[in-house]
Amino acid sequence: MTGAGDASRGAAPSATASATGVGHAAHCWFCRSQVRVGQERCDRCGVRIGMRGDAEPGGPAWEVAPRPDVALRPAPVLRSLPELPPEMSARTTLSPGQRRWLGAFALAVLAVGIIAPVEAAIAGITIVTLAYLAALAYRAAIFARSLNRPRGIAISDEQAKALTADELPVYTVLVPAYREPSIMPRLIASLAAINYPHEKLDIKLLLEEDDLETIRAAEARNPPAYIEIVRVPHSMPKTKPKACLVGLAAARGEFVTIYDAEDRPDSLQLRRAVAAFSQVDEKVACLQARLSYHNAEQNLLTRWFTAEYALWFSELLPGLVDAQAPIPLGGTSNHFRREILESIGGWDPWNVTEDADLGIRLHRAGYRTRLLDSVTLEEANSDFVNWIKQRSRWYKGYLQSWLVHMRDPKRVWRELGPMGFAGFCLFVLGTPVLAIVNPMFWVLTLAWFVIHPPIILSLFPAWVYYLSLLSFVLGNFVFLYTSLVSAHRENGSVLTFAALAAPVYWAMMSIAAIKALVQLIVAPSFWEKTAHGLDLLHAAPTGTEAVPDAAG
Amino acid sequence: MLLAERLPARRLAIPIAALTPARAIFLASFLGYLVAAAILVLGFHSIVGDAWSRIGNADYMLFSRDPHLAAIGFVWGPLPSLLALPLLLFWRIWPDLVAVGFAGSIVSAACMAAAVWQVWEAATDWGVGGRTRAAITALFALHPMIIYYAANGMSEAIFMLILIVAARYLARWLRDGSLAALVVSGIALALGYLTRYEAIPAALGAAALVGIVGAIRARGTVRRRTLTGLADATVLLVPAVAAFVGFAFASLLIVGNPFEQFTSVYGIASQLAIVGNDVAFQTGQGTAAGYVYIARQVIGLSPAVLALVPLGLIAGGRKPNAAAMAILATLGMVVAWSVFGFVTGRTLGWLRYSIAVIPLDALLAAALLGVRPGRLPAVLPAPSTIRGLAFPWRILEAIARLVRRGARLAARAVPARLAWAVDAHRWATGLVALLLVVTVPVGTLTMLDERNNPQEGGEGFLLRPIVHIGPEFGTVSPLGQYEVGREVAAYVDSLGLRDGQVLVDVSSGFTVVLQSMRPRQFVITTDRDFQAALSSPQSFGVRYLLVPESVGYAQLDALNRAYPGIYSNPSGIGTIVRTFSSGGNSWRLIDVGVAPTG
Repeated sequence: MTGAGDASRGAAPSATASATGVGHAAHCWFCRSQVRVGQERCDRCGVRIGMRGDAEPGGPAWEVAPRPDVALRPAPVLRSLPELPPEMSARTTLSPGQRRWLGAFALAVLAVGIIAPVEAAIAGITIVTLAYLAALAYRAAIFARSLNRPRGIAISDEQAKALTADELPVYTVLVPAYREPSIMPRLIASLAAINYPHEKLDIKLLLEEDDLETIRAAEARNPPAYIEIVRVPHSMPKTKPKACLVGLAAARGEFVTIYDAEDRPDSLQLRRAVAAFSQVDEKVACLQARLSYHNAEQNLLTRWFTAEYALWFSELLPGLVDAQAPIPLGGTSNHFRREILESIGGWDPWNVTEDADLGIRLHRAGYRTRLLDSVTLEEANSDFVNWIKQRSRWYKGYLQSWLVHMRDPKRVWRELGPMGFAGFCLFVLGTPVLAIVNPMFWVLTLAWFVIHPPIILSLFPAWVYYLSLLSFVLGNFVFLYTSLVSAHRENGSVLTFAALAAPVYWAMMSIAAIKALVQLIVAPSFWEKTAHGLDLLHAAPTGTEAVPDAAG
Repeated sequence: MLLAERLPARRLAIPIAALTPARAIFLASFLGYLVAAAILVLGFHSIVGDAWSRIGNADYMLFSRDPHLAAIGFVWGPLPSLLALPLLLFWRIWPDLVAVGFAGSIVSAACMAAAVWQVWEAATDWGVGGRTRAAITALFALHPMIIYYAANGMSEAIFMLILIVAARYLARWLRDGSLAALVVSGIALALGYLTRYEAIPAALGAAALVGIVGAIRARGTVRRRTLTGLADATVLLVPAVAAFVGFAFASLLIVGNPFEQFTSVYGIASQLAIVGNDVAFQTGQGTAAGYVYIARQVIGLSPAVLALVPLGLIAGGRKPNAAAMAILATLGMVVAWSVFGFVTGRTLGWLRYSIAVIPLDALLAAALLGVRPGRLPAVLPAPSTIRGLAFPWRILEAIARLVRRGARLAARAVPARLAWAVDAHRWATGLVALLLVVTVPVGTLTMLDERNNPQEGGEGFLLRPIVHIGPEFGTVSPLGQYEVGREVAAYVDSLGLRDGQVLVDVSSGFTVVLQSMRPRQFVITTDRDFQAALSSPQSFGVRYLLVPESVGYAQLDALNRAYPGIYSNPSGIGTIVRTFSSGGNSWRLIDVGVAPTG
């Protein structure tokens, strides 16, 4: 998988010192500044020279869009970063095969819709109802399995602190940030609070090179030596996963993790992760720590959000682990064995939920993810509009990830097994799709009560009607009760009462899901081309979408 | 989900052949109850109308002329009918599953056996060991009332199982604070509501207990603690509330009335209106005699209740016995409702409404004799800290210390061969065995005493043919419903009618429809076009009306209400083809002729 790039796309490969052995012409593969032979790291940008991939005739990963405000360097082609084969990347949303299938499917639906609209609608409703019931059963089952269990591998404080500096390997922490100068002081303070021997700590603050404001703010704090500011060179796509790839290229650690700029990780988390990795077998490539919010009680939205995270990280993900299903990783606090991460190609810079995608890719490659009982506190989105934006990005990313991995359904079925495949479809596709169809059924139910239109009667023949009724009654109960119980488990009363009002939150999810879908329909190029607006997707530290970049 | 929670993955990996004591108890009880059911229902045709008619509800859903889900009806909780549903698929192979409602007996035997198993598990949870645990399980399993309700297909068996599970897991939450246990208990109570509406007092009792204990246990300000208690109670109560709302919602959507079980013409209110006065007259309901009547029922079923309930309430002193509290809050509330509901004229005073006193006592015995029933946090201040009480309290404590020390010394002084005399386990086992020896005969007498049954159809009445076996063994059922139904069904089947040619209200006519091999010839109450057929039978294509004599509950029969006096004088409507009469039940088949063509 690594470096199997598309050579025809490539500009002239810029040889690295170690790969070519030609000392006088050696440039940093990354920023093109001159480097000496045998030099381990580039002086200018700090990336490691001559790491993986450079022995292969791999092509470039990304084209570069010229920017008016940044002086053009000679061919700053990113070369030896791990690169995903095209069929694993969301660079193109649909593969040609998928395009054909989707086209044929749409035509078939259209044809049936014209010939027998009512029957088509009934069939559609039946299929959706069955999908609801399947999602419901799966969710209830994994919830019941995980309710009584620990929430991941638990390492006590004593165990974590007992590890000596000799036992601890070098640990790389990647912290991507974009246009967040104000957050730098707190970020550097919270990174300095990590309890880990400094000589073994390799923290990389990944800042975009054109983001001078943030770079200056970070430098002004005079960070300690183990916190390194990496200037991510400008190139497309300018996304968080791309920045992380750059960081990975320079990583020294045996293990790698990611924190967002506003995260407040448990200070012993790295130690716990090391201890946990030593307890599990080699197949476990990733440990996902629990995410929660420090501002849960700020307003109703943050309570809902916290309750949702509690359900996701404390109940549903453990259940998925149990069911041997792939884990869509959460955006931060996922700890990797670096070698494995590199070998499967790292993050997909084209995917807007690269974390979820990576979790599935790891699983497909035969690796496993386990959960670590350690909490990273983030800042919950407390603003309605921002929340919608963030959520619609997630939904889009889930759809994108599902499409990427469904390019070869047979192979995925083989790699994941039936339960894993079911979990993959129900969580990665089901989450956005059910959020999209929910409001339709709510409207239908409401319409039935208020005006009793006969058309609804014809859409729901008896057995479909009873199935739908069962799904409606049981579905709303299961979703409400699971979130209620996990909210209660997480944080007593405050979240419990908020969870009772969760249906309002579901309505918000539907708005976000519809926004994601509308974007897909009215601006399909948005998904296909690189030139337009993918930089929108760079997640800003608060989790909102970043300010559009002029280069789009 | 209820029981799956009990099965750790480890156990699933063991081959089924591993017969643990718990499984052996379940299997033995199940087989025993099935034998009892076969003797009772297949042998003596001693069938309880309500159980039979619930099988009918499930049957109409699948095999009537108009099969649809709503045919399950909303007068009763749907769970018992739903559980019997899979068995009904085999009715062509074994007609008795439906014809005498034996499917219901299989379900009730299985559920009661599971209840026995849960009593055993609860005793294990609370640290009752060895023979005491076996004796407590027997106290429940061998009670004649339990055997009878395991065999007769009534919903009581499911209800007992659910209440025991709810109490057991509630006790676990009280002891360990396990959220999963609270969830299981909450879901059990919700299923309880879908079985019998008497689950409501149990749910309220459990919620109150959880709220109070949750608040006391929480840390922080008074406000914070109150909210935590409320949140704990919410987790417990939400499933039951959802079941209540969901069932009302489905009922509203399908039959247009959210509370069919209370307010419809077949509901509780109507029943009370018809036989309420009669019951009140016989039992002294509403007067002092009414208290005696209900007390005789409750105490007669399980005399130990007089000792066990007060002991359960005071056990543990300032830090109450958690298991006992859980039992009293659930099963205790159901018994309390049966008493309260009767004395205030809200229920009919059937003996079976007090059946919960049997598991109540068995579980209380386990909670009191167990070594780890759990303790609740102290609510009241220690007596020694109360002014004026401190001194007398210290004296009491000193006396208690002396007594304990004396008892220890005495025990040491007992010769080794008499050691059994001071063995606590033996004493406990002996006590429970004594309870068993007393309860079984007293319970049997209570059941057979027809004074405890305000109307025909009580336990004593239904068991009559078994107690006095006569020459009519196996042919005459206690209520005569079976014979008359079979007679009518055989006759109507022989007419070779097309689908939908006989109009009958299944509220009493189920005995005919269920014994017919051609159920689709009937237009029945649950059919969505029943009202149309009722208002103009001829133009609907109905040829015969099947009408019960208008006495007792049969006054509620839709045909008797639509055509008053039709039974005795159908002139102007049709002609009497035949009168069927046996066991005190009479039906008439009335020919309304063929509709004029065109």
